[in-house]
Amino acid sequence: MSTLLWKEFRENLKWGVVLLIISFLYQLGSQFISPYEQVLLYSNFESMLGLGCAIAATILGLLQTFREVSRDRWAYLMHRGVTPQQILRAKAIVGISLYLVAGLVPLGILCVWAAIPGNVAAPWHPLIPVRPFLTILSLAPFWFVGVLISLRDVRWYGTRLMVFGLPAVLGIFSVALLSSSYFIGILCSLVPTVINMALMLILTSNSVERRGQYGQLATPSRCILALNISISIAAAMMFVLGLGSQLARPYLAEGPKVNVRTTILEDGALEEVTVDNLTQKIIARKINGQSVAVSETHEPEFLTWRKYPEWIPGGDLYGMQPWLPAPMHLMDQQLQCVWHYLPEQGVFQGYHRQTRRHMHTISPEGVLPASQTPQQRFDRLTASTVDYGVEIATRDKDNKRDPVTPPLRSDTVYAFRDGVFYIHAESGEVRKIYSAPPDDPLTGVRITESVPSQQVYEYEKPPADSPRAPLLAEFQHKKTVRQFVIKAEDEKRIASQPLHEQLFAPLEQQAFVMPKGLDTSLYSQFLGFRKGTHALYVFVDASTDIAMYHMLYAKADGAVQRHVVTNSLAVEVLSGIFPVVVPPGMVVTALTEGRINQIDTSQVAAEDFAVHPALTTVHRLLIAGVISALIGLGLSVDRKVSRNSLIAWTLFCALMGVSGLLALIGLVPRPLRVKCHQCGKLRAVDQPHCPQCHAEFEPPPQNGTEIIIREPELVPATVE
Amino acid sequence: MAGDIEIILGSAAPLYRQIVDQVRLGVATGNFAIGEQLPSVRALAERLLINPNTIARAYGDLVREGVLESRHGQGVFIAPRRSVFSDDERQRRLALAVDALISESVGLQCSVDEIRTAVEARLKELGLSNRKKRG
Amino acid sequence: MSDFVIETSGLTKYYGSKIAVNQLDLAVPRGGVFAFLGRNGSGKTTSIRMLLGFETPTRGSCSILGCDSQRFTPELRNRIGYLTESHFAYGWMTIAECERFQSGTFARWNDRIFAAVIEHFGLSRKARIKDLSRGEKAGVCLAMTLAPEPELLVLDDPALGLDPVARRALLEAMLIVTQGTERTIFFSSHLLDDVERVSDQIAIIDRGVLRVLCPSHELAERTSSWILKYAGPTPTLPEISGLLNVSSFPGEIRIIAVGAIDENEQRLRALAGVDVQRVPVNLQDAVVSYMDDRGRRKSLFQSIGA
Repeated sequence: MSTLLWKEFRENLKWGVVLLIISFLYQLGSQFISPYEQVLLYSNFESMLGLGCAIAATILGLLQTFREVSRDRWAYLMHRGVTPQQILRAKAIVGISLYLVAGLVPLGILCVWAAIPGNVAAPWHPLIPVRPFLTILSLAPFWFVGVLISLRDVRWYGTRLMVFGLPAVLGIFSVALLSSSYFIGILCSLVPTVINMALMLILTSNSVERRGQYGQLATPSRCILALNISISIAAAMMFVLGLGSQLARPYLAEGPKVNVRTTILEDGALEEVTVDNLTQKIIARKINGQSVAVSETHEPEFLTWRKYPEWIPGGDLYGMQPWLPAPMHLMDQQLQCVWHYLPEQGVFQGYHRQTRRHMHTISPEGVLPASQTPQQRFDRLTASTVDYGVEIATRDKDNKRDPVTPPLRSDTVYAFRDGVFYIHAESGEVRKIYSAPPDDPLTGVRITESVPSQQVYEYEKPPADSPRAPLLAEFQHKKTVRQFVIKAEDEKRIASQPLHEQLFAPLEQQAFVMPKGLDTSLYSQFLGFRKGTHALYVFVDASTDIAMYHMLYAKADGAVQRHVVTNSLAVEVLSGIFPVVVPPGMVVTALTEGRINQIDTSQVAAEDFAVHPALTTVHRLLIAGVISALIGLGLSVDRKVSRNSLIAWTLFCALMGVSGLLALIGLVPRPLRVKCHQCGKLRAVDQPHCPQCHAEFEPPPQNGTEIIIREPELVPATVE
Repeated sequence: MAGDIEIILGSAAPLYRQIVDQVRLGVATGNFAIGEQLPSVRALAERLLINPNTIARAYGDLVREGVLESRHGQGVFIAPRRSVFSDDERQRRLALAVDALISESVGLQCSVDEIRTAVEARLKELGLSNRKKRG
Repeated sequence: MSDFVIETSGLTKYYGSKIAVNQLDLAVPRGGVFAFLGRNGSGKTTSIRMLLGFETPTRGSCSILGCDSQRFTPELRNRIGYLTESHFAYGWMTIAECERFQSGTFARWNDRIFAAVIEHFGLSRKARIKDLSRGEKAGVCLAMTLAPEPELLVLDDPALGLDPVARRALLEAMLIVTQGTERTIFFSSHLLDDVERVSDQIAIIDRGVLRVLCPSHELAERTSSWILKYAGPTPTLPEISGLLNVSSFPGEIRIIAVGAIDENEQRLRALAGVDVQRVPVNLQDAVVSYMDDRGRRKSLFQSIGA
């Protein structure tokens, strides 16, 4: 074994070194380029690292194997007094070790570097490198993917690559499980990694023994390989289909050529505007159901357009990990600090840009120097969004933005579980502007500018006489949603007084009364707006298989006047294809559809009331499953698999749909059939007896010139 | 000399037959002396670079014919001319050989004189003219 | 101790719809040198690879030293030496490193043999494989194959690309191996001179079918050829049993046939106006006739019209 290790090491050390250099450049380069940030915390760094790890491990496995695969070289390697498993094991130990060194050594150096104060303008916590470390670790099984790609004895290179699916899924799973409470998270994360390594090792080891031929593998390996290929094909198909549908979307016949966008006017009236999809021009306009004239310059602002946090497996990185600091966008000119929020301490820490040392701390008491220990702390940080790009500030008489007065910006309003704080680092101002009820903690804050729909409003140059836009602040609690409309009483007072004095004195506080029969705990992404006498609610009902969008137009007292239910266009189009094609894909689609980036009621056609598709997802899945099972059964019978395999493949195809069928076609070859010389029927060439007449094969043709002497006389005993 | 055995590859005669014929010819011409030791199977195989089994077969045939004798532990030697066959048997074999010669020659449409001249010339050439029957 | 070191039973291999090896039944006895002959693409290398377990038969089975080829254990591989025609060794290794690699992965290792072969080819241990010539690489591979002292040596076209000196060394090595031991050599070659020199038994495979399996000296003995000289129109040939090959030249026909020598001769001599001359057949001609197209092939000269 040591000989094998020595040989692999000598042969492949150079690749390990190349990998190490690349990894060094990426990891340390990323940090040196931005010394203000703790790159290890950034999801960009981590996703690039993850992708890089998967590719690197695969390439390493490839390099170690594909050159060995040519016939004579393979025979040279394999024909020795060691088992193929030992040979693979030696390759794996060397390969994965080189990979780990390449990944972890730069990481270690990076950690040491970052932990020394004055190097990086960010706090350090020993658990920070755990995520990248586990990312590197959980993608190690991709080394086996490289080996399998080299080994597999198939004609088309496309199918050779279809072995990344299983390790990818388990790898992603492993990293995703990392998010919550850390120690359990780490343990949970290791389990899929271990399973991943084990499965890939079993499959690859058996494949090496049998030179990559499916038909020769043992049953466990066959199952793993079939699953792997099927998942890979499904992923590839989803990627292609997804890409294709995105590109084709504007041109799809099914998609509407126009969209109807809904909003509420000041007086509570429901406005519906029909917009042409391609030209984005307004075609028609209705208020409370009545058509009105369209003004050329009309550009409605859609209150129903909001941004929601993206659904990533593992959820909110910063909220969930109580140990890790979160970079914050508290920018300030004077203090010249980069700010981080530390969940464990409940404070903000500011690190100086130049010296990169901890200079200031922000606690509920205010902005303190670093040497001073804060006596109070903030509660847990929640999501807060202030429409970025829109600097909500007061305007002076000439409608110019007043830069002096502290503005309400995404970096000044922070929501914690117990209330909302206004934090302005430059002026040193830290003030609680809203307290949540103790039994109804805050879950998020949204502040946006609400623009009257009659007005055209360009960002840079508002018309001279445009009235001040009120601010719509929405505070989402666990149980309730509270909205505040913030208006300034008159210009002078706003300009001369600090804005926040006036800000959340409730000038107009409205709490929603839910329409009867709606239980918000069932729904996600609840959104509500109220203007005048009416309110517009939009929410997603994810309790059904396909997330259904509900839009209610109701009176302030809760009486519902109109209720529209639909699923979005995306689901409509893709779900038509997916279930027949990729049942697992449908499941994923259904899970994620409800959490897309935007809820855009532009997808809702005004005439669509309570539209339910005739076939729900469940129906589609069942039909797809049955069709796939039948086709799979037919293919398997044609390929003359054993009875156990027949059952297994049929079930497999039922579950995996088209990707399962393609795996079956790719893996199990059709045996060659020739005519039986006795009964004339077709018979497989790999069976010694004809299934119909039990005859053997004809001996090869003789033409009278054969000399076959099987038992030659032995050489006479040696004469000397 | 007994060491003069050579082989020709690609000839119609198999290798073992070539060795047999050469030894026989050598004995007949007196090139190989009675009691002379032939190279061992191994040594000859090495020199000629052929399979020792070939040589073993040749030697085996020659021993059976009585041309060679095998002394245990020492090797093979040219055997003294022994009458392996009885007189009648010898006559019978001679008659066969003569028949073979005659049928071949007559087939070539040679005259009797031609045949006789050819035989005598050859015997002379090989220096066997004056050999007497060995007792 | 079994009689046969290599046995195949109905060994068949299809590539797609083409049959490469057609129900091969071989039995190679222990001891001696067995030559496995056939044209390129006749199924020879495929058979050898199946024997060593590197290809899977479509049907039938093959075994070495009593063990099925698809289930070789490392212990068994220790007892078989395998030399492929490309004389492969890792280019980056020096000869000393090759030795380390080989000796570390085989159970038995005879230093003396390795050293002797290396020295015979005039090689230094420090030389790198990628700097060696074809013949020198062959020497290293030979050393690596012989040093573990295998019971069975399987050589697939070992002399391919070798210069005469290296070829000679190879032959010597082959003879040394089988000297006085129960070791067997199974080899294939296109160099019929070498085959004639060293083989005990010959097998010829043609288009996947075994056509000859016999002791080497018997092949030529059982084959005969005649030259028919004629003037005037080409005579029609009688029925020749075991006809291997007929070549026509202006005024001349050459016939090679197997077996039934007297019978065939009689029939030929019965032809009127034809001069029949029997020509002895040597091993090489016999082998080539088996491999050549049945009967009516013209010589290249005739095809070109030289």
